[in-house]
Amino acid sequence: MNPQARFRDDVLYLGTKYFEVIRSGLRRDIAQASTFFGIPEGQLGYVIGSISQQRLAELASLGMPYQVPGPDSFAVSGARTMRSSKGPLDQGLMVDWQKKALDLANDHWWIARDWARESPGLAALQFGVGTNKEMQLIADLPSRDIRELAELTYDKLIMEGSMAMQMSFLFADAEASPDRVAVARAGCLLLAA
Amino acid sequence: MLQLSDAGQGRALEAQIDFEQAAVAGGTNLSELSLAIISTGRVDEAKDLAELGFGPAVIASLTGWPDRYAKKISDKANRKNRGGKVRSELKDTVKVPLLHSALSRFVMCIEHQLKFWGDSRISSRVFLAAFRYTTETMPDATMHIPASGFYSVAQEVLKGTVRTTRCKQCRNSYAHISVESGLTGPGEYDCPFCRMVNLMLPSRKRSIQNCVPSSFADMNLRGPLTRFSRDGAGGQDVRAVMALAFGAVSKRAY
Repeated sequence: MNPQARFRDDVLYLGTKYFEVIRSGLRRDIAQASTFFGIPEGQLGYVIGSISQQRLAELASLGMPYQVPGPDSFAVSGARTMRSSKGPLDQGLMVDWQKKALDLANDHWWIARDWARESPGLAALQFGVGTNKEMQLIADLPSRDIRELAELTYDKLIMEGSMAMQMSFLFADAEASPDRVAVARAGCLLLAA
Repeated sequence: MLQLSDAGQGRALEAQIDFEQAAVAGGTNLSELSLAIISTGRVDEAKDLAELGFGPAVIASLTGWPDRYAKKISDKANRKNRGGKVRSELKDTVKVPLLHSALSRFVMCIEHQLKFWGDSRISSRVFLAAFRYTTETMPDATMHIPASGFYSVAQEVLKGTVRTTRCKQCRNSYAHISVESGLTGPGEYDCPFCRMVNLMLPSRKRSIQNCVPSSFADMNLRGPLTRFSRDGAGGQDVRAVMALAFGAVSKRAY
C-alpha cells in the first residue's frame, strides 16, 4: 500500500478509536476521565462526551488527537523493572473504558514500531517522540515487550492542546447560548469564505 | 560493509538499473552512479521532491547533490503539479502572522525535524517529513498551498525569521502559532488571537461601533459582542470569539 495512504489510515483508525474511548470514559465518570486524558477544561469534557458516533471520524481526520510520552525513560531494560515495581496490572479492577484505553495504547505502539522502522522522522511527528534515540528504541522493540509498554503508558494518553482548541471551535455550538453560536459560526463562515 | 535489508536491496537494484539507463542515455559519471546506489533512501526522497514539482536547483539544495544529477531526476519525474516559483523572500506572507494553523503546524514540524535529525540545513528528509505530516493531517487547509510555499517557509525557519512561540496572555493554548520574529520579540508576545479579541471587544475607549470591522456588519454580531462585554464572557464564549478572530485574521478582514 502507498505509505501515505497507510499513514492516513493509521491516523484515522487510532484517532477514531481514541475518541470512542474518551467518549465512553467521559460518559461514565467525567472527573476521572478528564484527568486521565488531560482535557484542559471540564466544560470541554461535556462537549466531547456528547459527540455523535457520526462525527468521530470527522474529528479524527483533523490529525492525531493525542500524545503518549516517549519511552526514553523506561524502554528496553527499564520497562520490566518499572512494571515489577508497580506489581502486575490487574485488569479485573479496570472499568470498560480503561481496558479499551489499554488496547488503544497497544495498537499505538504496534503502529509506532512499524512506522519507526519505515520512516522514523514522520513517525516521530505522528507519535510525539522528540529524539532520534527514542525512535531507535521503539524501532528495535521486541514484539513481546509491546504489550508491556502499553501497560506502562495506557494511563498517560493526553489530548494535544491544539486539538482541544480545534474541537472547541467545532463544537462551540454543542451547548451554547445563541450569542456564542452566532459568533462561532461567523468565524467558520469567514474561514470558509 | 554496507548492510541492506531485502527491501533495501530491491530498491538499490532498482536505482542501479534506473541510473545505469540514465548513464547510457545522459552520460552520468561513475561517482554519481555510486551515490545513487549507496543512498537509495535519498533517491526516493529526491524523486518525491521532483514529483511535488520542484526544479533541479531546489532538489540539489535539499539533497546536497550536484545540479546536473538533480536535473536528471527532475526531468524524469512524473509531475503531478507545478511547484510554482520559489520566493527568495516571503514579504507580505510572513508580515501577517502565520495564523493559518496548517502553516503553524508545518513550522513546528520543521523545528522538530531539525532537532530530531540534528541537521543544520533543510535537508530532503526534514522537508518531506514535515510536508507529509502537514498535508496528510490537514489536507483541506493545505490543498491550495504550493510546495514552493512550504519550501520558502522552511527556509525562513532556518533563518530564524519564522518560529513557534507562546502567547503571554493564553500561554498554554497557542504554543504552535508562529510569526515573524520582528513581531514576537525575545520569546513571548501577545498572540494575534488575543490581539484580535482585544481589538474587537468594546472597551471604555472604544465603542462597539468602531471596534467591530465593517466587513462583519452583515453578520449582525454587535448584539452578542455587546452582551459579552456587558455580562462577562465565559471560557467557551471567549473561544467562540477566538474562532471569529481566527477567521478574520486568516482572511485579513481587519
